[in-house]
Amino acid sequence: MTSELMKIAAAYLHVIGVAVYLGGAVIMEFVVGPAQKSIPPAQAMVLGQKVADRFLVFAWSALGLILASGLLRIFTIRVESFLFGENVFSTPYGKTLLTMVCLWGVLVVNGAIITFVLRPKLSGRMAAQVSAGQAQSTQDAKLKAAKWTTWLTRVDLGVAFVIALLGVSLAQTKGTGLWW
Amino acid sequence: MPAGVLGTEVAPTLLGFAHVLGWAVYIGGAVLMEVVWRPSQEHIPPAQVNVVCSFMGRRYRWIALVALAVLFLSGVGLLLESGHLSTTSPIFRPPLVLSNSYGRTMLALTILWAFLFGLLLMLGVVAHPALHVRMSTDMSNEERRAARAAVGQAIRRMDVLLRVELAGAGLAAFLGTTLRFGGIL
Repeated sequence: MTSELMKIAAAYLHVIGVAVYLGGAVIMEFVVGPAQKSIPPAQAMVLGQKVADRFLVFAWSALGLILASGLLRIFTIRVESFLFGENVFSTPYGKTLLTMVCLWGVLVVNGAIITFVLRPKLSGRMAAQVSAGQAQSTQDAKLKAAKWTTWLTRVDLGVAFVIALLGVSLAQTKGTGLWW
Repeated sequence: MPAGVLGTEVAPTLLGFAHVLGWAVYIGGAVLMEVVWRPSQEHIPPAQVNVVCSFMGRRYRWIALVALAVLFLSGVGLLLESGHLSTTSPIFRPPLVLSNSYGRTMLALTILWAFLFGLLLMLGVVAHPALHVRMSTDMSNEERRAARAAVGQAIRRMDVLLRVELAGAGLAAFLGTTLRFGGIL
């Protein structure tokens, strides 16, 4: 009974983690982002920063939940040999699982670039006594960082779609995975 | 384990993917609105909040309705694919019967889905438009006060409905998860 409850809890938390990350990214891209263009640029920038700060906490929490619940799920349904044992490269299930973990790693790396490299550039304030040239170069750096953030966010969305597809394939194909 | 997958088990995988995507967009969107959007909007002037909310409300409701429709259609597809539901008599086949926990959980899930769909329609058709009352210049002070009070009441009602929606969505996801383990009711 306890083991059944653990299986259900792990699966539920995994579903919630994926839903929060994937669904949140979809709504950010197709609802919140375009909505910011409906107000003046100065207000849109303030709103964009506040939304992005909160969304990063939200996305990191979801990534953590996905990993923790995914590991719990692997151990409760007793398929750990497909990730940690000799079955990783020799079975479709193991290869699919490994691909999912690698893609999760891509999300983490992209998330770290956005959080620790691009966001500080975007939120940095300009000093009062700067020359026109310095102001222009700071502005250019911000625009470049904004473009990279948009691009990486879209890559993350695509990667999250692939992870979800692979995850579903593991469940729906009784363990063969979608490819191989 | 079955060997080749492409061509033999692609249909359930794609249906399952559509189902997960529907859930993700619906629940993820509801959580994002509550946890990310609502606290962030406090940092811009109310007039701008009104403009952004109006834009987002229109778009988000449609996306959420489509997500719920995809959930229902892909769910039916998965049941047909698994043989629990049939187009010939008997339509409902074990374990999709009320004598089984799976069937009872599925019934509760279907009722909850209908409730969430109705709630979304109510949010889109009644609750959301009530938030955006325009004040005309020929309104008396009394009428303006009444209009502001009505908007305040609409905001409180919207808050309650959104939290009910979030709780319902979380419960539905839980019931759906238990189906893989034979249901819980």
